[in-house]
Amino acid sequence: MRLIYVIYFMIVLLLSCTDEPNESSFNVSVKNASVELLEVEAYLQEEIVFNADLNPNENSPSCDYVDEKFRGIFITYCGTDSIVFKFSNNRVYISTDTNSGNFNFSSTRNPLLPNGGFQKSGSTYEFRITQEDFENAFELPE
Amino acid sequence: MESWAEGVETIVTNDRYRNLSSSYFDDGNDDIGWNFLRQRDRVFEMNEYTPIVTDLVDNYNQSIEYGYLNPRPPMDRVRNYTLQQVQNALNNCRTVDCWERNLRNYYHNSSEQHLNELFDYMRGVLNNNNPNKCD
Repeated sequence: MRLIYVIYFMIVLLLSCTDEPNESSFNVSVKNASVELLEVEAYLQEEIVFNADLNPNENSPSCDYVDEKFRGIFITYCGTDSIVFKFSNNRVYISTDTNSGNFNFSSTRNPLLPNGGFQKSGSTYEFRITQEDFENAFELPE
Repeated sequence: MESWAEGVETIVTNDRYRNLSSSYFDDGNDDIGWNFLRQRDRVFEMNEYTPIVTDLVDNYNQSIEYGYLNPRPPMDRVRNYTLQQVQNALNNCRTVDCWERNLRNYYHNSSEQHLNELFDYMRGVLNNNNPNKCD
């Protein structure tokens, strides 16, 4: 009888789900997939924290983190809450972590949000700026 | 089961931090402290570790706070249950429906009309086919 209890207990232990959730490594970057020069400026609380000029087909340095879920360019890991994408013709997009403002990409694309329209390339999640983006970018008001 | 443990861990840890250093709660954790990322989870990406216990206790509606996410996190209009009440209601339950029913039957809470809405997301998680869930 005791043996049955021991076996029962071991089966319960084996089938239990008591592990912590699995975490994965994520690398996220911006890729200039247009044929234009692209300037990227990242801000945290309105202070610039990073800027880079990306030539066509060039990627920004990646933000790397470990989490249960992909969270986009997330403030906690990447230290930015808004990004300005500026083309050589001075047209822009501005993305914020609250998806606010009037210079966003389409409503479904935002690199600061987890399902903001990333594409996976190898181990990197890329937010790709396309030639179509260049053509549809916003003119900043005077 | 995991959600209960997750909730105790979150609430007790934050109670402790609140006593030790109130400055722990800041923009870096959305002013809600440790395990704040759970409040950003949407049903399709949740696993066994849901924030349901915290949702029953806190006054924080993640569907409003993160309304810009698409889809939104769960609507949480339930508030002010105590950890003790949540535990008592869970005793001898093996289903989400039982847990919800006991909370409604055992206690009076001014937000209990929203219990069904809140527990609906747990029922959604049970059927969300998330491959990261434990079998």
